Amino acid sequence: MPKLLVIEDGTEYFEFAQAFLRPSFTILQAQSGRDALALLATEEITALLIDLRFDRARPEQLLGDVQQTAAQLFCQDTFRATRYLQDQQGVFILAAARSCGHAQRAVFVHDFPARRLENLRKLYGSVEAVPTFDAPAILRCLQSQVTK
Amino acid sequence: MSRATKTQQLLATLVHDVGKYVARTARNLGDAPITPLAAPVLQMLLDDCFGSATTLRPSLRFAELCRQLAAVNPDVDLSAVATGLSELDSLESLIRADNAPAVARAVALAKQIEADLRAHLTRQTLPRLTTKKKP
Repeated sequence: MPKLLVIEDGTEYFEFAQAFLRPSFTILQAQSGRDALALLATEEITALLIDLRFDRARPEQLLGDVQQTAAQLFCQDTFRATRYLQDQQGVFILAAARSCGHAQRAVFVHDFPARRLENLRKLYGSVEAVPTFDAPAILRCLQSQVTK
Repeated sequence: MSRATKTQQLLATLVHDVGKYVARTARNLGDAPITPLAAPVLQMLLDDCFGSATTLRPSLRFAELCRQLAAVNPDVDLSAVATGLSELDSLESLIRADNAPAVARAVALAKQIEADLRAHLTRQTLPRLTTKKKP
């Protein structure tokens, strides 16, 4: 059975996957980037379902350096830097996974503008986005990876 | 930041925070959901429609974002969405009891709320994409 790793700061994606994607996948869950990388290192994961925003995560749970981000992008404003890391955490996690050699298809449930999605694909390879919790559409994205 | 950009940002937040999550379960149950729902699915529908220990009730988040939107752009009329959320709130006790007609109505309302919010965002975005500068 293919394994789907759900990465999010809450439980909404996991519940959704358990209810509507489980016949096709065994569902695993990680609630931080570090947990996700640990699971990717030890499990044969087929595909990733990633939440973009981690607005309930504490700063120490986030991948990315708050101080460095504040210095580089926000004139030393650590509040805005933390907010930025939370808002984009799914992409930071994907980047970390790719840098560790994990090339599985990643699916976001997010309404990315076309140009942003194109850039994500250039940077991180197999990336798809579905704007809503549409189980058949998400399954199509995930299963096209499984059947490849 | 321009008024149009701020309006788009707030509508995109409404679509994400309210529309996407209120319809998380509903959009996967079909137009005539089979009741009684399985207990985990009913709990998901309740969390989507009325909030949970870790998520805000959609009608409250909607009201919060509407206040911000009204301060930026009072011309955006989200009264149909407000009415839908209000009706959803009024059905809470029936949905918690897995009353079949109430569940069916909640499913329809949740999907309509998401669709309405997306339509507002699209309307707000399209003119900018199609406007060309005159020579």
